Amino acid sequence: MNVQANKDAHNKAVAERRNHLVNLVGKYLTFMLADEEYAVQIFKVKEIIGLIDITPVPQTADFMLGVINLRGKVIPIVDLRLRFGLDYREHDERTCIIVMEILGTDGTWALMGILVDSVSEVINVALDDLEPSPSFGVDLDISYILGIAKVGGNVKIILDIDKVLCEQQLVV
Amino acid sequence: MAAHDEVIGSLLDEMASEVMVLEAGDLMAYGELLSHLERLLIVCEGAGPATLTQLVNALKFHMEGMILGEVDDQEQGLELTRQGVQLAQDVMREEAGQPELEKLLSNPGMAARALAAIEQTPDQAGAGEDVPAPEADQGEDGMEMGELPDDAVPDLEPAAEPEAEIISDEDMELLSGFVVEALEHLESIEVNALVLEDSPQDAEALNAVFRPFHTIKGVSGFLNLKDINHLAHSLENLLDKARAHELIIDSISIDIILSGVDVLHQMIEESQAAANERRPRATFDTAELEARIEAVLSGEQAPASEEHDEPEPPEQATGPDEADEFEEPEVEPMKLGEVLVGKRMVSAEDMDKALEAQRASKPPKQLGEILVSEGKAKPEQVAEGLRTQKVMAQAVGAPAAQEVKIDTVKLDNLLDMVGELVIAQSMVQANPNVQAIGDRKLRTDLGQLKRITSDLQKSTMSMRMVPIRQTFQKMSRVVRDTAKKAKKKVRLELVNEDTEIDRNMVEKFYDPLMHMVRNSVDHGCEGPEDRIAAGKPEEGLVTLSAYHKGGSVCIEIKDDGRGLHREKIVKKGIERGLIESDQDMTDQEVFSLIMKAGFSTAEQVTDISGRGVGMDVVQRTIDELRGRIEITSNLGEGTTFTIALPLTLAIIDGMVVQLGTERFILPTIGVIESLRPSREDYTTVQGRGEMIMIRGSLLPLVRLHQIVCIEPEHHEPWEGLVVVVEHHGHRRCLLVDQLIGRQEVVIKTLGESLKDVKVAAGGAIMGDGKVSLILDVEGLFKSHEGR
Repeated sequence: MNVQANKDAHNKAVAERRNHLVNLVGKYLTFMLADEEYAVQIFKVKEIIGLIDITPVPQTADFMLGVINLRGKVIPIVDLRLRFGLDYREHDERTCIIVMEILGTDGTWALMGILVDSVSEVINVALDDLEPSPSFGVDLDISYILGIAKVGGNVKIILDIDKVLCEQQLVV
Repeated sequence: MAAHDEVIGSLLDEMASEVMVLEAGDLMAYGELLSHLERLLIVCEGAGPATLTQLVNALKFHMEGMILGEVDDQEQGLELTRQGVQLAQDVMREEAGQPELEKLLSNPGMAARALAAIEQTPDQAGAGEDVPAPEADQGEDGMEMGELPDDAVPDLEPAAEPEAEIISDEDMELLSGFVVEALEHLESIEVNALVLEDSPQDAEALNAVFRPFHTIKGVSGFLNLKDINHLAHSLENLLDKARAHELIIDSISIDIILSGVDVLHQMIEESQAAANERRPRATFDTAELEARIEAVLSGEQAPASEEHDEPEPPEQATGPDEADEFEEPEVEPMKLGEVLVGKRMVSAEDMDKALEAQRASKPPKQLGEILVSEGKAKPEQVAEGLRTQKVMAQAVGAPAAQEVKIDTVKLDNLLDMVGELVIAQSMVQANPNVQAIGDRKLRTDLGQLKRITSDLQKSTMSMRMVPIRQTFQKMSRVVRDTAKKAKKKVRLELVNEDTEIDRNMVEKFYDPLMHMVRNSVDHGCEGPEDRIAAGKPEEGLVTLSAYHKGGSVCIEIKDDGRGLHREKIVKKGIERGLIESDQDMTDQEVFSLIMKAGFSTAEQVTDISGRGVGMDVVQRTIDELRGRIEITSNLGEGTTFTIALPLTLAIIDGMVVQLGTERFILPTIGVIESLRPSREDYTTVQGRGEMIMIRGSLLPLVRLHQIVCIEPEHHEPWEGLVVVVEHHGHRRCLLVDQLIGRQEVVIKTLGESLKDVKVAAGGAIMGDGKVSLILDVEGLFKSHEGR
């Protein structure tokens, strides 16, 4: 009886994890940050633009670089390196901004840009390529990692970009 | 009921054209027709003649049979449907009845299920003949029917009956449309009811109040909103009595109409809310209101109507509506004769004769009179013709501006894009390579492009503007209610209500304006006795006016009341600790004390103006809108509040300053002056607090670069420049590198994620396409204090 219950619970957990992974199947845009490859769901990406003048906004977190003019709309830009606590790196000609549609905590959609080292490619992720996010112990916050994809021998970290951009206070 | 007849009539007309083009086997079209029949059935069951209900029911099942392939000969089946719809129209005109129906049903081509359905409801048969049907002119809105007593149709049962059913998805759309329209109707009723109160004999105003009620009644009945339908119907009855000259509209009836509008407003909003949340509608108690309507209708509370029970004055003897003829506007798009002949009410020969007679008669008689006296036309027909003519005259005489409703998001997008276009255009023009081209044709073309883009920008900007009229008109109601409560007589005068103002501003400005108007009536104007004692007319006057002045819109609220009492205000100000003495204070400064929080001069706080919202709330809203308020007053003569608001919320008049590599924009409204102080003007207090002496007064120095964390070019005030900024009477010096100039910029929000940045009120896109931050003076001061 007890064994059966355990088994049921195990099966349920496996099924849930599988369901979670099934939801992740689809197309992704991948980009580089300090030799690590990250992926975001392609339908959230509005466009990719080269580096343009960014106006700094005072009283914000250090990873909030400021705002840009995207064809008449003012949108905030987050440096993803700084956001993840990686070292600052001089911007070069490969540095670019990925403009994404973000679902805010209040349920409204907004445009936001993320500054990344370079954009790599668009990949198709199948169920077999996916693995749930591993646990790294207490030191690393993985709540904004949806999963890991292994495509073509490379590991790509799938980001929950809404969480990345909304969860931490942007304004100090 | 008339409204139902109208709905049925139009549905039938629609269906008639639908069946004409119906092709056998076209299941999509079948389905559409079926859903129309179902809709019609719902209306019929409430109010239509029983024969019609039965017929429509049969047709519905017949169509079902057709769709399910139960009818072998589809062509014949269709033909029967056509006949059925035709018959239904005849029934509505009372040209056909039960026997024809039975004949149709006996046709072998009829789907079996239709016959079965009819058999199940035999008790409805036979009742068809004695149901009151509209007059021959089907399609007219049947206003003549209004005099009938409340037809005891089941849907007129107590309004408080809860609606158990929850509205379906398809109805949702219909309902939303109805809600939007009905609320607009209620607004127009409110305005026109007040016109009507001033001139109870104004037939135009009466109709303008009547018609919207009629529409609301009709549509709400169609949507099965019984309580709304019922109340609208009762109010319509009341007005119809007035239209028939059986009742004179007095202020009691106007009160009833206005409270009716309020209740309907709540009901309609509730119906939308309930539908959105998918719950049954809450009910409203309309019994008291209904009783009041009933009382007026039965003449209990309307003694005024008795004096007027007599027939109309002699010159109107030919018929009540004949009076219209004398008021006919000069513009006559169509002669009455043409209208009547066109409507087939009078034959062409009869008309010619009548016209002949009219020319012969001395003094010239009215055409309508001749036609009636010769028995060629009934008075009602002439009246109807006149009505039609009048409607046409309005259409020709006053071509109403055509309007389109646009989603504001789309409009904002358009504005963004046009802003970008202007920037792109100026960047092309400023490009040195382009400037080096010596082609004259290119020069002129570029010039042309520039003109077009700037025109385009102007006209997109103007799309955000609306006349302030509607907001002003709503104030009539406020004045009326407030005056009534305070037992005063006050008249409202509107001046220049065509002045345009930003759409978003109108919404935000409504509450403070209402508050100030109430205030003027309640505290400004005196009671009738006091006024007469002061040698003023008994009736107080509040004037609302709007005008453009130097890039802002000014709104003036002026009363001819008792005026502000300087000494009283000063005394109170000292009491409340707002000031220490009034030494060196101008009247203007003293008066502005009344806008401060916690200040109220009225000895008696009434329930009207003293409801917790004070003038300080008004002040705050005006600040939010970046406006200013000025008060002038003469004791015993009245008070004028002048509110200056920016033309639009989208544009800010700004002072561009440079700091290091960045430019910032300061709202010009907060900028007093800018100067470079000398070294001697700079002092420190306790070695920390920095001050600058400007013309004898010491102002704190705010180093902007420290707040916005930017490396400046100059670190010392005597090297750079200070801008004196003011917020709520507090002045400070802002240290910047240099002043670039004054510029109007479009305000863009920084978005949800950056809305907590206190020092920035938004961003602006500059001529080079870069974003500059618009600084918030209040936020700057706060950040400075927090350091």
